[in-house]
Amino acid sequence: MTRYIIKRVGYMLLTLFIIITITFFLMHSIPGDPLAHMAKNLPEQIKENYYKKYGLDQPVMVQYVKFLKNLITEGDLGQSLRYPGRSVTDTILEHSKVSGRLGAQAIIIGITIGIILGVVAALFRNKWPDYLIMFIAILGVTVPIFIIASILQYSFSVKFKILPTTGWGKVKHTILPTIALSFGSIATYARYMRSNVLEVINQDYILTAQAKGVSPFNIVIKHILRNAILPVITIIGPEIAGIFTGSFVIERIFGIPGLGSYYITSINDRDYTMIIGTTVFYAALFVVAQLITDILYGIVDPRIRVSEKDE
Amino acid sequence: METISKEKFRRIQIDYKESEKIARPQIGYWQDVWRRLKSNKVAILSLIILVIIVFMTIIGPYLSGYDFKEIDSAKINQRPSKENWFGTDELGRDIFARVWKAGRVSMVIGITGALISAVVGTMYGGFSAYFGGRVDTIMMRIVEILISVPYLLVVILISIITDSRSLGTMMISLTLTGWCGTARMVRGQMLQLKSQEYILAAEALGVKPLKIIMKHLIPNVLNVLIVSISFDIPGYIFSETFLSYIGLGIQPPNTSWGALASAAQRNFIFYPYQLFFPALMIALTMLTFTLLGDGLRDALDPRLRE
Amino acid sequence: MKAKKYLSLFITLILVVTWLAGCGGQNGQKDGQANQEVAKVETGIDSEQYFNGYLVAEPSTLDPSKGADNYSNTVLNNVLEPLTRLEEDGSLNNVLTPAGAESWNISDDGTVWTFHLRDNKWSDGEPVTAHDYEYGIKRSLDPATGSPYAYLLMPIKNASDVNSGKLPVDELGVKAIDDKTLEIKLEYPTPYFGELTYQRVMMPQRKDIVEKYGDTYGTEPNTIVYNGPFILNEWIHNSELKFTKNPNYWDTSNVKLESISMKIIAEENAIYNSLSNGSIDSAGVGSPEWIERFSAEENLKHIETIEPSTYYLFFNTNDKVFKNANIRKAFSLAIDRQELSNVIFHGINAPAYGWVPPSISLGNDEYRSMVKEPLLLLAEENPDSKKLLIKGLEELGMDTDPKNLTVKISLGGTDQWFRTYGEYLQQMYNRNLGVNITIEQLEWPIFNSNVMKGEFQIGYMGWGAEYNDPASMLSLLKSDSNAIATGWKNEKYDKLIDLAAAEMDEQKRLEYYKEAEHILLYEESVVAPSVYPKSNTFRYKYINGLGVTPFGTSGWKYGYTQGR
Repeated sequence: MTRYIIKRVGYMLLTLFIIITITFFLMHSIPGDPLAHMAKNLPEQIKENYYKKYGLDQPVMVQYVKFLKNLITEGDLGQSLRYPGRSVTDTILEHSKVSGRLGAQAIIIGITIGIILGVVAALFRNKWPDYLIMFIAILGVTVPIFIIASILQYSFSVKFKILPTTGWGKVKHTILPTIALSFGSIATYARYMRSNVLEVINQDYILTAQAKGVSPFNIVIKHILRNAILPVITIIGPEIAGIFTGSFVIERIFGIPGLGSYYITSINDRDYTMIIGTTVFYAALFVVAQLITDILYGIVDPRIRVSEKDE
Repeated sequence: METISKEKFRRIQIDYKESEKIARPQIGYWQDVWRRLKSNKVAILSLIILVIIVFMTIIGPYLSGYDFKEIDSAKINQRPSKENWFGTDELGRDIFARVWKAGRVSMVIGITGALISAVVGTMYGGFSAYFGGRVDTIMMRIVEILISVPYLLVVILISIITDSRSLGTMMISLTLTGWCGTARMVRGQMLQLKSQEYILAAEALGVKPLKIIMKHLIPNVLNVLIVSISFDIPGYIFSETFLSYIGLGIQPPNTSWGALASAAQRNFIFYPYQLFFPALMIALTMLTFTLLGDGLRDALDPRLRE
Repeated sequence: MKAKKYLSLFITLILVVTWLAGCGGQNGQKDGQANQEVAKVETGIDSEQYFNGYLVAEPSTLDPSKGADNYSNTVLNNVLEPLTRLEEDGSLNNVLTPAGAESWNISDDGTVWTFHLRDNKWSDGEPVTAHDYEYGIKRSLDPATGSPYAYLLMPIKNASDVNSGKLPVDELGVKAIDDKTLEIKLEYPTPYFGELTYQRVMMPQRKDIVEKYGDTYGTEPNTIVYNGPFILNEWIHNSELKFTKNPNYWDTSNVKLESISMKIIAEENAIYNSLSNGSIDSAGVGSPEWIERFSAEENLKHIETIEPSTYYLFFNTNDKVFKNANIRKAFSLAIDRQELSNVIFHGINAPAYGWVPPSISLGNDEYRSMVKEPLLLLAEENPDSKKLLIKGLEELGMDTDPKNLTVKISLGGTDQWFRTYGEYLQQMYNRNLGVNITIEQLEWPIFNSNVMKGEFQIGYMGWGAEYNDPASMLSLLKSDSNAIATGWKNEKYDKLIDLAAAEMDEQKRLEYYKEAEHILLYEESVVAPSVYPKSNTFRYKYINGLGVTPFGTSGWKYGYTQGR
């Protein structure tokens, strides 16, 4: 297992390196530069001084080597170009915390409600509770999130005036965005859970348990739930990475200082260091989440672990 | 007490040929799938609605007598009426024609996207699992890299690099990393199946590899694949919606449900019908695809065969 | 989203102080009560004085030498004290008013400006001295700072050489004679130099603080010191900025607001929703439906403003099609400006048949009231724009069937508004000229880069006038200006603009400008103005004393609430 993990971490670093390299050169090759947001053609001298100050006057290759060196030796992702003086690392940490909190709230609600609904639906397969639950769950993901968010905002903050329109800092600010965000997870988990439970129900060991006279409640809790919940772990992994990345739409509509909206802005502003920093952060999160998922899955399902060890 | 006369009995031979006969009519896997799907009312209803929607995206734009891009400054933002069944938009265009025209783009994006993902993903995942070992490792590393590049970055970069917003570009940017999930899933499923007892049994009985793949692996993978397609189609339609919202949607005059919905979102309090129709179409398509997918999943699952 | 659009459209953001992005007002006919009657309303003002506003995007930095965005300009105007401020007088004209400087003299030849500073204190208790202003200006021009706005300071003696590193920073013509006197020498007489004295690049900076915090100077509330009416207390990046009144400020007795909150809200509907439920006190509104709804609200006042700017299409005169003036005229005349302003701008903006927008004056009169819009004449003489197009195609020896002509229009925005606009242009040209139009919706940086490289046929932009003179618009098309990349060069036009700049007689200047505009639009049609934008601001009636003109820089200083 240790060897396997070391190997995986090695791959992970390689993956990150490739992503950094690709992003770096791609971003520098597209038209526009960090001064474009001024919407004004500046005099050459001014541009020159600016490029020099931020090292943009050097060949891309030199910038790349310098960037890598700073990243490896100091863990420094550089300084934002759009927001002069702000460290990219600090900015990412600050904003991902916000996205993380919101995402975590949404995912916890999503998983809890989703799993319960999924199990109930499966146990009543093709009966009305199943139809009702699946219909409601699916309905939540059939409407684009910007519509849900707009409607929530209009109803609760303009019509009923019980929740704030935008902002961040208090619990009340998180309520609407959390609800809007959790719709998606509820449906995903409910659906996954339902099919997993259905799969487990048909397994022989359930029949055996029934034959042995285990109470239906215990069958559900001890056998069905336990086995059905395992595959859910595989989809939680990427979603945990996703909670820190934040939702651009939700953050924009509810004025939340998360990383999602920041990312899009930085692409539009050609804030090279921010884009690369954020991309690296996203990729790292994803890769780590993947690793953890795989390890967890390996622990949980011996068959997979064996096949991985075979390598 | 009545006695049974001996004449009523007759000796018969044991017919050894009949011993293997199956009383129920033998039906193939696919016939069975269809039979089971038919009995699922929800799935059939979804299928019918879907067929109607697809049919309407083909002929709908010609029904109202208005061209979807025809601007009429004299009737801006009008409610649904006899002339304009779904009302008009901010440029006085007929929403009925627009909704169906937009549906074409959305449907094409959804279906093509899902099919590309499914085909590429299955082949990739299948190869990876089949060869195993080093090939598998390398192939999975590549997937890992692709999958960890933020999706939005890919889309934005593609649209910037190719300098276009055509349907083709959108398909490329949406599917470029979209198939990775399918590939992983197929690989996982294949690996799991490979170690199943019945495969082992089949192998031990000397069934040819091709037959194993056709008879056992494909149906089993197909089942998850179809579920994933049923997720993917609305997924792609949704991604397109999101891209439209952030302004990276399809190039005008072409339009999509996402583009219509995000255009209407700004003023939905004033003109709810402008948002309602595209949103309804998105929702209906998502809903029916998902329900049909669920139905197919149940019908396709060999373990649920009756 | 609208506000963001304005951001990209307005090339000249400098003077347009949109302290509530896009919410500036002007000649507020509807805003009957004059604004600066602070003294009169002392009585009856609310005991709790606070204001909730918004910014459309996060301010980049409070380092006066570095950032270059409207949002940080807005903040800086309220937390630092520039030498002067543009304040509105009773009739809503902007007047250059003493602020950090109590008074100033200009030498007879107009090249030496001497500012006499008043007593003021930094928020840490240190006195504000002329050295702080001197340091601020020098730091902005120091090439090592990399300041984007430094180009504004080029009229200062040796500025260009200092900025290019040819001369040391000490050689710059800025000197603190003593703690209270600042002397600025200019390279040449510059009538508009006064307009530069309230720009961020001339704001005072404390050397010790700048050196202490280095690159992080001005990135957080505690890495900068303040000497303006307000102090920034809390800055939740991308979310909210909170200010309180600065007790050390020299004019603190005239500052009524105790605290201010600026939320950052990018989404248009969220802004309107926030105004509806009272979480913000004032907002710029671009949607006609919302304007109608807010107009009906009794507790909101409506401030309608014509912005000194023009939205226009511009042609690439090096393009194989648009090098022909008749074709350009055809494409300009084919725009149904009335319909455009009704359909696309919902009647909010006024159709534009001239290049110089209304609200720009020459001397004491509005330029537009003296000069008829040239395109009106052109349209009268050419009722059928299609004929002009065919004539132009003949001159070029091209296929004269418009059906076979395909033209690309590039738009520098990807949001929904640009999408609708593109779709409209496409249909409109197809209907009026019979040509095929492809729409290229580009992100602003790419649009900008393509246009500068001359890789476009027709582009669309907006320009806000920098100062109140027709020259601010007309000089943009001079051959040596690269402001609007049409590639157009016209000696006569250049000469007229130069003549006008040196001419003291207003009547003669008017004639020069009139002729120049005639060449630009009637003879050559290099640009096709479409509308003059207006802005609509809604404010709760209890808000008083905030400026309404787009140029004013008084910020929140004189604001107060009454009857909240």
